[in-house]
Amino acid sequence: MSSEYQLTFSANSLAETGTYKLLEVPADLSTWIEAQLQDPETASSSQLCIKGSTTEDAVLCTANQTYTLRAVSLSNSLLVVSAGSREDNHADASSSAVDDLPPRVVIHDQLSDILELTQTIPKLHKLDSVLKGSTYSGEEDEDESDREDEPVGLSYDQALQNVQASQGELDAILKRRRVLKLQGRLRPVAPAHLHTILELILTQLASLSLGGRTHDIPFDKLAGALDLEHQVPKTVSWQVMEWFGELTPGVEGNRWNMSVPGMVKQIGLGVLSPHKDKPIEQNTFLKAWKEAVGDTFEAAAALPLLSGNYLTSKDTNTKYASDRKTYLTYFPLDSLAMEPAARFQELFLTRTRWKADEITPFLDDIAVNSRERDKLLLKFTRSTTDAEGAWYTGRAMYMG
Amino acid sequence: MIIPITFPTSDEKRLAPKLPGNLIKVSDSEYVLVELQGTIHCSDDKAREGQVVGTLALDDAVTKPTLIIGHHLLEGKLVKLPKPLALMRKEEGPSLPSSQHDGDYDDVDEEGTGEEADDGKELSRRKKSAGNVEWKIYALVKRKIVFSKRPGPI
Repeated sequence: MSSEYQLTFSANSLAETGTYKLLEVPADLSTWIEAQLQDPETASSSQLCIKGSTTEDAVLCTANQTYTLRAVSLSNSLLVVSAGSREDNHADASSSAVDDLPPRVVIHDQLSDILELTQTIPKLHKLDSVLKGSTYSGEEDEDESDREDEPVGLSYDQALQNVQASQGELDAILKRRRVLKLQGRLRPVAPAHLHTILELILTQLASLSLGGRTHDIPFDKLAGALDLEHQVPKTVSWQVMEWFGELTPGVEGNRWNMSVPGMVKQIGLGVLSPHKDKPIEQNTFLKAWKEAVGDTFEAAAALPLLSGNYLTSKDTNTKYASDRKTYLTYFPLDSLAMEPAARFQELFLTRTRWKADEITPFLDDIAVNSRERDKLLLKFTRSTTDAEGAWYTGRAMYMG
Repeated sequence: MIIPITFPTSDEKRLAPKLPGNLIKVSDSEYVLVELQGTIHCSDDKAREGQVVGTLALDDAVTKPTLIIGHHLLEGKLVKLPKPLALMRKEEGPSLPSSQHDGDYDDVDEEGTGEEADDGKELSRRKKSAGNVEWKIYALVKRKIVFSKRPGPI
């Protein structure tokens, strides 16, 4: 026994044309969508959205992931069909035999393409350009320029509107780029100023006889001292301490649990950053770094912490290999281009050939995962193997 | 620019017409996708609204869908989609009649106070995005009815 349905165009078929779209969703997203559909009350409205200005390729953002959208044409057409609404069934109510006819199903739209989703890294190049010129380098500078009428910088909501990244990814990148939220505006903190604040935190800890403590540090006491003696506002201390640890409310006010590797890393970057053009000898650098972090934390100062921020080079003038000193050059990942092609070009301009473990730290932020990263390596580099292992060189290089 | 993607509220879900008969076995939502080779054209495309296209039939085991258009018979099959498709519909910002419509709903489900509060929230959310376009996901489609063969005479 089969059931029959009368297939008709919907009563407002012309107006409905083009109002439907099909989105091919990956497995993880489809489970989430299914849950939202089944339980509409828990559906959070702002979690899923399409972002992009009229001149950009649109992306789809979930709470913490970004996908590119691409329309794929189909050779067949897909009819979007549903049961007829009352309106559709009454469209020809004049005919008396409505009841005898099979139930109606209506065509709302005919589609000849679907939208394909591919997970991508957030598109952040726009963030850099909009944040330029709103650097925060301490209260003294703030007073000098009379900026009170007109707050400098971009608000968080504006950034969320303009940057093609999900909220989770935006929050993470604002933390990584060390961007403060001051009076509702996004202000990247100047690296030199951040370095000063961190050093002040360590010296204050020592002078408050809290030196060596990494957990359960009273926030109010520390931030109060920083404010009073060094003009670091509490709101700045709060955000900085959140970047380098965790603030938890306790019985006697907020407590700060410091992340030692995070602090030590940032101080290391501060020590290394002047050596962009002038390499520093590795042991000299390590000594300076350990001095800057103080006795308590010097054990944590180790080069792997700074991965993706420096390049090493060997001194080739000495006679014996064992005498050769290693030099470090500051080479921050954040200063490199986000487009893979441009990134590889920059990398191969800096160096003509790279070892695998040397190049990977500089690719992690442009690839979603290690598989994507290897794909990029395959596409943009040529690999050769010699006695020292595998080397990557640029594709367009004359090999003789 | 942000275009929000939302989901139907439980009221909208309840009021949506359900698929009749065996079609409900094809889909777990209110929509079915039917794939055709080529497109359906009307001689006068402007007059197609409400016009009958043909007769779709589906057996109880949902294995042999057929579509009769005029004197042509199409035999199809049910195909599982490799990746599920989310079906979205464009919704324009609320116009005046639709907000009156909301008022009507309030009258209908006045027994639940909690629901009323929800409606208020929903209304204010809608007002905020007034005039804006949003896309609403109505269904996650996992199967489609495909008519890929050439039509045969009846």
